[in-house]
Amino acid sequence: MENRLRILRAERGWSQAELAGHLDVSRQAVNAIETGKYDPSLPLAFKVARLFGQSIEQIFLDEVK
Amino acid sequence: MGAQINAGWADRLGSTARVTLIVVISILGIFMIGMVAGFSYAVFEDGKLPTKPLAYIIFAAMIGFAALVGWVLATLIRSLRPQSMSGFDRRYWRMWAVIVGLSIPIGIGFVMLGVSDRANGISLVLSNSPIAPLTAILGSLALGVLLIASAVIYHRTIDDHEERAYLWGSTIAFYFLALAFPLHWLLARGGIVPVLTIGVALLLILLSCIVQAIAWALLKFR
Repeated sequence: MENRLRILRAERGWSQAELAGHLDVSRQAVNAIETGKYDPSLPLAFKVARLFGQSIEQIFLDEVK
Repeated sequence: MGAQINAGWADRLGSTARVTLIVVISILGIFMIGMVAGFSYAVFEDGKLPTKPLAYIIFAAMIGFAALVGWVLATLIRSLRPQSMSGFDRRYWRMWAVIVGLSIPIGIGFVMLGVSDRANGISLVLSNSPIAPLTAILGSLALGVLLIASAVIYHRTIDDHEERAYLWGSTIAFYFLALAFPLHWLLARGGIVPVLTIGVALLLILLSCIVQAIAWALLKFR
């Protein structure tokens, strides 16, 4: 699934490790989400959305649309 | 977010000295395992627990010394890691330290059980010779506690991404076992491979664990 996580992270000047710290996950998890190799669970997607103050749909792009 | 790592005395050593010490201690550790195996071979007879209290004191001293060496090694390795860690990383590495700490004494115990099998001394944990009932009960309890405690600690600590890697790894390992056992059975009936023994079964389970670990690592670190 495509997402805007890398862009949102870059806007804040955070490294993957720093974002992982904010989300309480491993750096590998952030990297896997950013590269589209892993789709986060709904609770983690909500956590990402809350952190960046956006809705899930604004961050994770529905490929069907 | 991050917490400073304070490795104390290790920070005062140069990085070359620390790496050298890690290599030297690791080599010494291999020799120590050999010493423990040799000692076990000397005091265990036919899989029975030793009767002399001195044997237990020496075992306790060995485990204490192994814990000390493990702590020195962990401190040295920790001092070489990046200077800040997130809360998740700290919990994660602490979890591995606890699991390894639980595994080492139990692992040594199982090696001792294998070494005590004088007829098949090199077969170690794959040994299938009789042991004393008390040893069997203690071994089963230790293994049960280790596996259950490790699983609970592990699954409570890891994140969503690793949980998925673990579950897929386990699924692939199950398919491996589900294929390996009937294949072996059929091939054994055809006389192509030896009849399935407990040793072969344990080996297949060990191979499935390796398959699980490889799949887990590929999914976690790709």
